Amino acid sequence: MKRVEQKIAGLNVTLIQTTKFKTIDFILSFRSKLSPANVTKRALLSQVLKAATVNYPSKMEISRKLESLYGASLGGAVNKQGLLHIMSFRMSIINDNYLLEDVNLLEESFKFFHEIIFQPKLENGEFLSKVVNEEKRLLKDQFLAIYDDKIRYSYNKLIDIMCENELYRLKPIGRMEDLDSITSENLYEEYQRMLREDTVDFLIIGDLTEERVFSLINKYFKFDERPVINEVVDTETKEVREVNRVVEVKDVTQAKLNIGFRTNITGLDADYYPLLVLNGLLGVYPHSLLFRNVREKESLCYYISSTIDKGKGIMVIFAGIDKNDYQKAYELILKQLEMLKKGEFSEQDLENTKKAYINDIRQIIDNPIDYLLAEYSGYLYDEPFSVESLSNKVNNVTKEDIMRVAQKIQEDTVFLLTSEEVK
Amino acid sequence: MEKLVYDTLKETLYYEKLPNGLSVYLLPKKGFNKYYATFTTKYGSTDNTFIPIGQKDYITVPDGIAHFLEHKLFESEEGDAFLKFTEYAANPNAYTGFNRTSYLFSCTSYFEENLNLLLDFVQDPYFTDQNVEKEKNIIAQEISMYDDNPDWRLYFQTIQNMYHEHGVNVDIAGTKESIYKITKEMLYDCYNTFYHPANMLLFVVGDFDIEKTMELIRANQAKKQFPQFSGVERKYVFETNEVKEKESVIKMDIMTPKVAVGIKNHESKLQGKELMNFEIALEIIFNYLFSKSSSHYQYMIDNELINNTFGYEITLEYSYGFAMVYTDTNKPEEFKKYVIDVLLKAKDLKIPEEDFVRIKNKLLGSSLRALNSPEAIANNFARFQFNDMNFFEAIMAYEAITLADVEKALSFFDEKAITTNIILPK
Repeated sequence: MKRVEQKIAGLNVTLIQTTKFKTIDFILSFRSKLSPANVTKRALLSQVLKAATVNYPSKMEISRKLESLYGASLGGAVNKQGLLHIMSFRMSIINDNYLLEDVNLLEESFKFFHEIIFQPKLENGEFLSKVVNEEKRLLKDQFLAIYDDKIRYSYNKLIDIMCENELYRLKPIGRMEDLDSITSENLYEEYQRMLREDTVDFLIIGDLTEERVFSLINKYFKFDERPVINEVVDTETKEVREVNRVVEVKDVTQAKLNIGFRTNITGLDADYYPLLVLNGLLGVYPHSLLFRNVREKESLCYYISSTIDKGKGIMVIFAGIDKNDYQKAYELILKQLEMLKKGEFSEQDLENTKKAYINDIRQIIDNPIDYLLAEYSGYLYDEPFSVESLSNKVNNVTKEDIMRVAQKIQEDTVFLLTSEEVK
Repeated sequence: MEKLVYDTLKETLYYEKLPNGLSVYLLPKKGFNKYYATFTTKYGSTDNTFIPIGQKDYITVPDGIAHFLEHKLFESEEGDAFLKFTEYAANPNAYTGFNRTSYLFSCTSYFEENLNLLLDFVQDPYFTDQNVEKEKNIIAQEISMYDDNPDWRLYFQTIQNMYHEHGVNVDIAGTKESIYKITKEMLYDCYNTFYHPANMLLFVVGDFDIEKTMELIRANQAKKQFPQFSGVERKYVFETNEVKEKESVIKMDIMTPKVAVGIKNHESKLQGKELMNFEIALEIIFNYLFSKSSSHYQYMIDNELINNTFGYEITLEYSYGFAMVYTDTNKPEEFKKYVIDVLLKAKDLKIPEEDFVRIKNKLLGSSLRALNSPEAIANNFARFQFNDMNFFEAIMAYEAITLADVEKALSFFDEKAITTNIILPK
């Protein structure tokens, strides 16, 4: 396996050469500052660009082209990481040396990918209004669908309440209320701005030579020099005087409990790896405290997990419980966090958690997309991706680190979605 | 040990049937950090009526018992197998389907310890009255979770509309009533009958030494005693393709209605090559009718009958099978009418040669892509094998399929086999 990184004007290119995979995968990523002014437009753009191009002016024609490229896949999506809004497009193709026919699938795919990014179908210098309206309808349906999945809905609701006045409340797909004001014209302006100002990365992995890749990139992907946007962590916070408790009544069979915390630690802090391991001890693995003590010992739930957000430092614990068990489950969950503060966990638990993370880290490079995403995340946090260095950081975490970090965690908001008022 | 070479795929598979009847398959993958193993029994939620091993009469056990058994198998007298895997830095899991139950782990170190552990915990049941009781509340919460999930309700009610008697019409986890009837004695009856090595398959993938790994498995199995195996006697239910209910409506607290149109299979005894060709033919037909490259998809998206949740799936197994086309939509009746119309006309479908070739290439490409993923191979392998098919041969079969094969599958499209399920906001 070999890694090549090269800057070509405004484009940062990373090539991972490996014979492990039967595919070639590539990602083109555009990042910008997360802002309410354009987040929804960008979410829409990620879909509009892959809906109609000059030579393939409908989804049907785009799909037929992908099928003829031996079932190539094309994706467009938006994501956020701290202060950044990231729009990425990706393709996966079969490496042509597995095909009986003699085709240059790589070049054909680059040419097609180029068209997706640079040659949208236009009318009067704007996107096709038919395409924009269709994607607005589809995005609106995505907002509405959140309500229909009550696990997701309750998690989102917790964040809405907890971060009511913070940037973090913005979803990667933006805000439904923005949709009406988006037009083919202002969307096209946003597209031009994105091509001009966004920080752009191209990442590619597969059995490829440097010459072949770089000559194709030079031919199809040109971006002018521009300032790099790299401020990632979102330190906006608020003082928690009292835990905010909100109960919402809906027609659900199972109550959904969500508890939000502020850890005050982000991916750039020295305490990030202790926090990561703490979260593993608490609620990621079968041996984690929540799973063992709340599910296995007390039979209070089927699913229970904790997650942390690297860019913001928020931690959320969520579980599905019987509505009559709310008080018991809530207290038992908080008790697990107290145990971490007091160091009431074994060295064995700590070792097992570290081993579990290192196992996860080692698996990253067995999946082409995971590998590219880890490389990209490495840029954002100025921490070049390497299995070894990540593993070392996890390995260096001590019991004292966990106890210290646990002290920093503040409970902020509890949101319970349940079928009747809880006393 | 047999060696099976798939030249065009650049894969080699090793096979051995052990003296106790266990089928073992090893797939070396050079350069991968990850080891992945699945240990699968040909036993799922629908296998509720059977003759327990060593007995003479059929018994019927409560719904959800295969899934319950899967939860409980992780417990042993010395403790929780989940936790032991953790000590060896592995990631264990298990799942129960209609006709299979699979136990698995992935790891990047301690491969041999983990492989032994997988074989040992699955082959060491430990059920007590107390540990069986304790699990009931956890599974009740799992059932509640699915009750609140509209996509699951959409899928499941559609199957229930199709089947009169077949066990596929009961939720894999059972019901809150049925699981409370489960006892440790019933669990042992099911275990002893269906977890005999001769009814099981082990698949291991990763960058390991083939001979050493096979030897480890042989030695592990040689240490254990199993009764004589004379085949599993279970009752399969075969139904005609006539659905039980033509339509159903459920109300839930959702914003956007959901619709599924299901079509029930008439060829529920197919196995081996026949099943493989039938399955590929149906995949090609459904791709032609409903994939994003189809004119129907374009029509439905243009007319706001569907959104990005639209999809279809095909399930073909011994004794049951169906296809489903589903979406979230604000025009449930129009969607239903359109899809049923397409399905009825499909009886006389003629796929143009050009489209046929394009779709074949697409399916071949996506199957090749699946070979990147050890998990995808391991999770699918047992399903193919239990139906007398081979996962790798199936990939190569795409190239051999003809339009005549596709035409033979068109009798699938039959009016009496079609049902619709709609979920409406309350």
